[in-house]
Amino acid sequence: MKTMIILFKAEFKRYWTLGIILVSLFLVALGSISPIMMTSAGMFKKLSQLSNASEGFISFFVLLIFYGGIVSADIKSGWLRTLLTRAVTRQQYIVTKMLVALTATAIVYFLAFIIPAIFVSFDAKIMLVYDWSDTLVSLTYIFAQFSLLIVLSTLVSCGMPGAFNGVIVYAWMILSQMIGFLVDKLYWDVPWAVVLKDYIFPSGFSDAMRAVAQSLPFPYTETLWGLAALTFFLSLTFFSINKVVVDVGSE
Amino acid sequence: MDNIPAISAQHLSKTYKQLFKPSVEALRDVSFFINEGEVVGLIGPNGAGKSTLMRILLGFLPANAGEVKLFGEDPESMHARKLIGYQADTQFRAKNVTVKSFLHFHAELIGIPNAKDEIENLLRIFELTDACKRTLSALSKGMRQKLELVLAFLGSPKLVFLDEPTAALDPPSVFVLRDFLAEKKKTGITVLFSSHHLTEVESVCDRVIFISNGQLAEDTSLKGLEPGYLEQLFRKNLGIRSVVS
Repeated sequence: MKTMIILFKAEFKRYWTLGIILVSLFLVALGSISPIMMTSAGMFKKLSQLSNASEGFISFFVLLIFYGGIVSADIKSGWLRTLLTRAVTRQQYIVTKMLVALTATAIVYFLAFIIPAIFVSFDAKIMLVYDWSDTLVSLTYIFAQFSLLIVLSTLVSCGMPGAFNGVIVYAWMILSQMIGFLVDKLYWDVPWAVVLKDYIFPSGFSDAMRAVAQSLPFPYTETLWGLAALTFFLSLTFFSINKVVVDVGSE
Repeated sequence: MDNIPAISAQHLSKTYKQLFKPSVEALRDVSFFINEGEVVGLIGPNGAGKSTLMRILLGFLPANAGEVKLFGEDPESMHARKLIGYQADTQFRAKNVTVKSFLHFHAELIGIPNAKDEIENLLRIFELTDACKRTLSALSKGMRQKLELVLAFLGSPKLVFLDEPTAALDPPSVFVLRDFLAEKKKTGITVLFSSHHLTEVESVCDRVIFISNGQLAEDTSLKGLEPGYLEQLFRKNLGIRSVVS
């Protein structure tokens, strides 16, 4: 545990270069505009709806900024080799790396959520309902979705360089939407198609987010599918990090 | 513990498989022991498999066959890891991290008491004191190599792997390293020293392992041998004749 805390502090510090800080601030500013406009236009009436507003936008960009080459960049720079030589296990490294990525995303996301929430609270014309419990549930699903993206990016990054890593996860996101739509509309009665879609292109957490936003009954099934997919990809990631060639040498 | 070798390599083989290209056999049935306190040179021509062998010994690269033990333990076990240091031939770069914070971070990870004194001492020996506030990406090639050496010896490991440690060093730094290794040798440290500089190997090592075409061609003690012996060994094993003759 002590090793992971030391590693977390060092990795977190490494993340925030001046360039990343500036890009993140720009992302927060852009991510705040749409929720403010939509709430002002009366499209969002509850805080839980506001919490969902910037999730898609933030996920799309943090994928490249924070998760691109999450492992492969460390292999290329030799950083991973210096860690594993002496005191860190591959498992400690990968868990810490994913936690740091999640924390960095949380910071950007919270700013993009809180700034519009504070902004609209000053506008007397907007009557926003502060549904705290639904907002908390919604935030849990949002972070579960971020975790899934981080795990996927880490898995891909174990075998692919940075740029390809991002491209593959983007492709996965697009395919996930397309295949999800096809299976839901056309092949919903084909069991293998449904199981394959829910494992390879899981939408459990995003479906659950939608259910909470629409005040539907608690999405137990969607949550379980989301957790199953997260566990599946997490297991693959742990398997992959053990196979990574750490020291890519001259020979 | 006394009878357990520092390094035990048994029947190591490694083949690199490549897409659309023929496979490359980097190591073939390589076996040897290195006892505690020995300083062993690992020599051979380019592409002989020296770095591959080192990476397998460190547990960074899986062998296709064979077994490695460091002090009787798996190279990836935390117990073995705490006992080793490694200076690689590929150099790391990291933005946003200074030399000082990098070394203190590693000292904290290893759990070194009085890390400040040890770091300052190693920085002074390898003439990096003035560079301690620079970021790693701002260091020259030679300075990075020195930093790799500082990192390899940080925490007084019992076994150190040095992969071409003098490749980017200027002559005064090579002399410093040679003297430093001579001092360390007295403390009973085990060193595996890979190099193309035969005079360095002769001056530092007790024994030499010669790798050629992925095979162990020679495993000889250097004690009592004439200077220039390694050149003859090279010529003999690779069939190189004098250009003049």
